[in-house]
Amino acid sequence: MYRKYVIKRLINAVVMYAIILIAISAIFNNTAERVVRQDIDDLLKAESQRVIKSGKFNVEQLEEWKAKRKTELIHRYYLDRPFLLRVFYNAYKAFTFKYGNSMIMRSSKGDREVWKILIEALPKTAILFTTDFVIVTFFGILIGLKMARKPGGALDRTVSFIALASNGLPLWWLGMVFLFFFAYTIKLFPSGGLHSVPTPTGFMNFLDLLYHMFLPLLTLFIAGIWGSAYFIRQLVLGTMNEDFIMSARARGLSESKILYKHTLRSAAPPIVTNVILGLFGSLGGAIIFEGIFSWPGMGNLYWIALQQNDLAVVMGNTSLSVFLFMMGLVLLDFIYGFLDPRIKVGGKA
Amino acid sequence: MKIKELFSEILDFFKDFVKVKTGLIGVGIILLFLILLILEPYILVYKDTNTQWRNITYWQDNPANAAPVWTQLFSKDKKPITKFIFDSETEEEDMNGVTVKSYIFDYKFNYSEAPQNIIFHGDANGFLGLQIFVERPDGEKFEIYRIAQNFSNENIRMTANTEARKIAYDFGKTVEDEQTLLNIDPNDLKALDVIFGEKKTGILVKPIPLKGHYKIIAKVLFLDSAATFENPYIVITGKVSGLLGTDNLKRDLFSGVIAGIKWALLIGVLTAVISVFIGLFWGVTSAYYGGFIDAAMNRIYEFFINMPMLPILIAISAVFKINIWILILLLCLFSWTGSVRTVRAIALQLKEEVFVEASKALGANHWRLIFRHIMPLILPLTFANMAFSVPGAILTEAGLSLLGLGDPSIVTWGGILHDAQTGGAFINNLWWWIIPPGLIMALLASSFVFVGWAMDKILHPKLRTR
Repeated sequence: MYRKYVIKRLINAVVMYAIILIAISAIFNNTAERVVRQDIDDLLKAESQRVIKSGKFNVEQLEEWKAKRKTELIHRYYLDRPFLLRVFYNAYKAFTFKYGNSMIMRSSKGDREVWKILIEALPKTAILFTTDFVIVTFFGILIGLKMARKPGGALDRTVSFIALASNGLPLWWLGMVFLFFFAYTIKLFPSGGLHSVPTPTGFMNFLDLLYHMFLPLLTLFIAGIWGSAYFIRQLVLGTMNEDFIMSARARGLSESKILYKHTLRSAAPPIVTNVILGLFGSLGGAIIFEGIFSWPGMGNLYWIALQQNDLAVVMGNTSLSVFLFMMGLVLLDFIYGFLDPRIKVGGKA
Repeated sequence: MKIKELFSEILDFFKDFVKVKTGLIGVGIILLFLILLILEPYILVYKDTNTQWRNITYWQDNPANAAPVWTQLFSKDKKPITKFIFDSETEEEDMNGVTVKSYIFDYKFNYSEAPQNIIFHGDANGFLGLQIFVERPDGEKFEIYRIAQNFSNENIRMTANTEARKIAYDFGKTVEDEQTLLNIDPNDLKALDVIFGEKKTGILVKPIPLKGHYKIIAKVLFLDSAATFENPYIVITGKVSGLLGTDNLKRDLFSGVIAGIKWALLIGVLTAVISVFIGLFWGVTSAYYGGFIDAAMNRIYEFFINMPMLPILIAISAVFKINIWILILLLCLFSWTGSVRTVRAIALQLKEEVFVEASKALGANHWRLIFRHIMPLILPLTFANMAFSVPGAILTEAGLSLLGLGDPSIVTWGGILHDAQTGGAFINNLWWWIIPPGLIMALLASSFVFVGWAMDKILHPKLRTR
C-alpha cells in the first residue's frame, strides 16, 4: 500500500516538475536564443580569424565556409528547429541536470560548467538559512510555549501583534536598515560578503564566517522569530484542547510537564514539517536579501547571472531551486504517509 | 427586505469588527493612507513630483543630501534651511552710458553652518553682464560670480563656482599662517564656508560661521539697449530641507514618499481583488463540477503553487521592460492560488445544499448556479484572503523596483530605495533616504494584515483558538 502511494506521489511530482521546466524554458526561450546566436557569432568570428591567418582560402571560399559553418552551428544548437521542439529540448536538458556551460560566469576555480557554479553557491545559501532555521525554531519554541501558557497575557498579545505586523515587513528593507546601522554608522560588522579578503585559515576562517554571517542572521532572526513563536503557540494551544491533555491534567501532572512533554511532543511533526518545507524552499536563495548582503549564495547568483545575461546559469539555477523545493514536498509526503496511514489509503482528504 | 437584511448583516459585522482592536488599528492606518491619498495634491510640496521625478532640472534649487528640517529641533546648532528670497531693493545707476541695475537681497544668517550654495535666478534677454556679490556683516565684500553673455529670453541660474573658490582662498590667505596654507588644497575648499566664516585664523581649516545680516547683490549691466532682465530672485540652499530631506539628485523625499502611496495602494488592492476573484471562481468551479474538470483544475493549481514566483517575475521584468499594469497582471497570475483551497472546501459543502438542488430542479444552468448562487455566498468569506494578499503584492512590487526593474515612469517606494542603494545613501549616512520609504511600506502592508486577521476572526469563528 505504502509503496503504491510512494510511486504515485513520485510520478505526480516528476510530471509536475517536467511541466514546470517546460514552462520556464518557454519563458526564457527568446532570450536564450538571442544569447546562443551571439555566442555563435563570436565563435564564428574567432574561427574565421584563424582561417584567414592560415591563408588556405580566398575570399569567396571563406564566405562559403563561413555560411556553412554557421548553419552547422545553428543546427547543433537546435536553433533551426521549431519553437516547441527547442523548448522541449531545453527542458529535457534541465530535467537531466545537464545545465551545460555558462556564457560569462565562472566558478571560483574557473570552471564554466553551470553545475559546478551552482554547487559552489548552494552550500553558502544552505549554511545561512539552516543556521537561521535552527535558531529561529529553537527560540520560537521557547517563546511560543511561554505564550501558550498564558494565552491572552501581555507576552502573548505583544508577540502576536508583532507577528502579525511582521507579515507586512519587507525582509530586505530590514536588512538594509541593519546594514546601514551596523555596517556603516557604527561600523561594527562587515558590509557584505562571506569572508574578508585575504581569507584567514583554520579556526579563524570559521570565526570570520560567523562575523560575516551575523548581520544577515540577525535580520532573518528579527524578522522571523515572531511568526515562528506565534505558529508554535497556535499549534500548542490547538493540542491543549485534546482529550489526552485533559487526561494528563486529571492525572495531576504538573503544568510544565504537560506542556513540555505531552503537548510539545504531539505538536512536533507540524513543526518539523514547517522547518523542512521552509528550508527546502529557501535553498533557491532569497534573491533580494542575498543581494543586499552580497551573500554569494543561490539568490545572488541568480541575480548576477540575470544581469550578465547568462541564461544557462539562470535556467540551471531556477531548475535546481524548483527541484529542491519539490523534493522537500515529496519527502514530507513520504514521511507523513509513513506516519499517518489515513493519508495514503484514501488519497483524498 | 433584502437590502434591509444586507444592511443589518453589515451592521452585525461592524459590531464584531469593532471588538477586534488589531483590526481597528489596521482600518485606522488604511484610512489615514486614504486621506493622504485624497489630499495628495495639497500635501505635495513639489506639485509636479509625479511627472518630474526624474527631471534633474526640476529639483536643481534644492540642496543635495540634505537632512530633514525637523532634525534641527533636537540640536543646539541650527543648520541653515533653504530660503527663497524674492524681495529686493533695486538701485539703478548709469556707468559710462551703460545702465546698471543692482538688486539687493537681505539675508539674515544665524546658523551654525554656512549654506550649501547661493543661486541667482532671473529672466534674461539680450546682451547682459552679471555680477553677484556677497556683502558680509563685517563689511567684507566678495564677488562670487561674473558673466557677460548674449541671452535669448531664458531663465538663467547662477551659482557660486570655481571663481568663488579662488576668491575665498585668497581671502583666507590673509589670515592663515603659511604652515596651514601648505596643507590646504584650494580645490577642496568649500567657498561658502569661507564666505560665511569669521575672519580669523582657521577660516580655511575650520571656519566659524559669522552671524548677522548679509546682503547679496546682483548687478546687471545692460550692455545693449534692447536687453531686459526681469523676475530676479535668489535661493540660498541650506543644509536641511523638507520633512524627509533630499537625496543625491536633490529630490524632495517627502514628496516622493507621498507620491508613492497611490501606486502601492493600487498595486496591492487591485492585485488582491483580481486574484481573489480568480481564486474564488477557480475553487467554486472545480468543486462544483468535480471529476475530470476538478482533477485538471487541481493540476493547474498545483503547477502555479510550485512555480517560483519571484525568480520568474524578476526574469520577466528584466527581459521585457514591463509597466505597472502588466506587472499587476503578472502578480495576479502568481497570487490567485492563495484562496483556492479554502474556497474549494466550502464550495464542496455548499454544492450539496438543498437550495442548489432546488435551483437545479427549477432549471438553473451550471453557470447560473456557480455565479449567482454559490459564489456570492462564499465571496464574503474571501474578504480576509483579499486583505491578506495585499501586502504580498506591495512587497513584491517594491522588491522588483529595488532591483531597478520597476516601472520607470512612476514614483514608487521601492524605486526610491533602489536609488538610495545606488546613490550612496549608505556611504554618506543618509538615513532619511532609507528608513521612511520602507517604514511607510511596512506600515501600509501590515495594516492590511491586521484587517485581514480581524476579518478572519469574525468570518471563520470555527478557526478561533480561545
